[in-house]
Amino acid sequence: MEKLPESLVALARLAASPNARRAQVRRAERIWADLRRRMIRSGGFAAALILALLLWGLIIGPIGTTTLVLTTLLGAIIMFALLFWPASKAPARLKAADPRTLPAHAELWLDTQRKALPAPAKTQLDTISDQLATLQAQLDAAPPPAETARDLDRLLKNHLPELVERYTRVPTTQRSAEIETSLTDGLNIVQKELSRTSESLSETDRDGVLIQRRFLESRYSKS
Amino acid sequence: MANPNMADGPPLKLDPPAAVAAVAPAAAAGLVPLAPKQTTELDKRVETFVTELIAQDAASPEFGKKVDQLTNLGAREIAEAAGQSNRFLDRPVRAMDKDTGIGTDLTALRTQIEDLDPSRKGNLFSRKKLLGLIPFGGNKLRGYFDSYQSAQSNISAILSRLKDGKDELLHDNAAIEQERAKLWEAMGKLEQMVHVSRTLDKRLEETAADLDPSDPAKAKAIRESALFQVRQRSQDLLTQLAVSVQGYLALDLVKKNNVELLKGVDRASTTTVAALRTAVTVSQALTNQKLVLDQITALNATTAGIIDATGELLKSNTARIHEQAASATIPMETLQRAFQNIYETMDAVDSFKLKALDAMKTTVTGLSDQVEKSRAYIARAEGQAQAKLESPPPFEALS
Repeated sequence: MEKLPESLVALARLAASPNARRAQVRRAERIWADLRRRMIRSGGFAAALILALLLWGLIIGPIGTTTLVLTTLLGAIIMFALLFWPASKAPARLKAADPRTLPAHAELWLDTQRKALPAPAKTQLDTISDQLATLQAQLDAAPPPAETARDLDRLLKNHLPELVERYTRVPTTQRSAEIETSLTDGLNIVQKELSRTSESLSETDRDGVLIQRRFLESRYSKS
Repeated sequence: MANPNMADGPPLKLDPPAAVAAVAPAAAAGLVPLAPKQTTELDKRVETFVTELIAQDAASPEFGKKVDQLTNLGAREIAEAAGQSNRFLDRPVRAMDKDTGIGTDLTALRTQIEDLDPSRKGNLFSRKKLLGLIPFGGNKLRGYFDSYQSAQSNISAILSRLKDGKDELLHDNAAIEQERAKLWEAMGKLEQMVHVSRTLDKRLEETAADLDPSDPAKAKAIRESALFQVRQRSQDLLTQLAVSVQGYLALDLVKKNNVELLKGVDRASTTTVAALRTAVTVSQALTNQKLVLDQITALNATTAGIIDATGELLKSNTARIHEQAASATIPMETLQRAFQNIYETMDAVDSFKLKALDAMKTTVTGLSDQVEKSRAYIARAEGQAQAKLESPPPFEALS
């Protein structure tokens, strides 16, 4: 594929759908959170090391220059290691995910699959991950009815991963137009089902607003 | 003014709405009107479907697939409407069960009012007597009016609770309105699917007749498979539509009941406040002592226009009471009349509630029967839908 000029890339990023932008923001947030965790861990280790050296010097006796240099070196190595190891692990298998955090989990998993999918599927993935984020917020706010939870479980643990995995198993050279449209059609259905679930979860809340308006009208606007 | 009584509007009449009769499936269709634009669009889709169907060979898998699609005709619309039937059945049942606390408050108000009723106090114009024998202290009248002072905080608390109860009823009605709006939408969709199934029925029948001479095998296949499916689905759709219509009417019944009850509560509050105000005036006229009922007056200021109207009535009556004060019995009669008004209101509410409960029970029984029936249909339809999951429904209601 021909490489796009820099300005066009910027333009494309600007033109990216709000879904894509939000997905990017969430991805950046995840990376940042990971980085922060690593820095805190590594910084914590450094502080502990310095404290230990100080206490040793005060209580037990002076540390020689050699020990100091060696400890500093070793400490730096360990700090460095703590920054980069262990590598951010890909999300654990979806099947084992806790139903309460399943949407967030599924979003992470989809992110890892992103590279293997064709361009039209990627925009769909943005929409889906946006829907998953909304769903996660909804699940956090209130536990879903048992049946909805079961349906969601089936969709996110079985049906969606199966679709994506079956597609990625097909050798690149054999991914015909029909295979690709089958994938995007499938993702479309998933998308519809997710928005249906999300809407049904917040139905009571949406109705609540309408009801409250009706109530206020009948209560306060006396003819 | 011809009427010397306080707060006498027209006598309170609360009409319990009649119970909702069962809706026969055959009569259910056509209640929600379809826009001509919708019918033309749906007819067009039916036409396309039939054309595609007869283009296939009767023995081909494509023909079978098309027929299979018909088993899902309206499945989503039915499922949606059925999902609501739980809720609309729930509401009248709850309305019957809880009695909203308004009943309790009205009873409490009645007890308080009976305590103050002058007609239960014997001769108030006699003097107080020690041990019933020796004349002692002032007359009974003064003591009687003093009892208002101690009762007023109770009464105002009850009236304020009644106001909360009224708000609850209003909120209930707002929720019912919302539910009815959604039910109406679901019924519109069912109606569309009924239209589709009827048009399909007609078109398939005609097509089969046309094909009889040229291709009897296909005509037979259309009659035995496609037409059979369509007719079965028509029955399911009509059954669900009948239940939804009945639920829609039942919700209206609950709402109307609430409105009547609201009227009753309003009137009970108004007549009570009116009686207390009358007592203030009468006390002034008879004992020359100002009876101060701050809490009731304060309540009055916050209560809406209905009570203001009573206030007007009272003002015009006050002058007359003072004129009549010369003969002490007439103001007392006025006060008794004011109490009578409260009793009448409360009796009207009580008898209304009895009748309303009856109508509600009949409605709920009828509705549960229908819902039960429709559930059986839906269970069967679900089974078919599960078996034919791979074929999406050929038609969907337009939004």
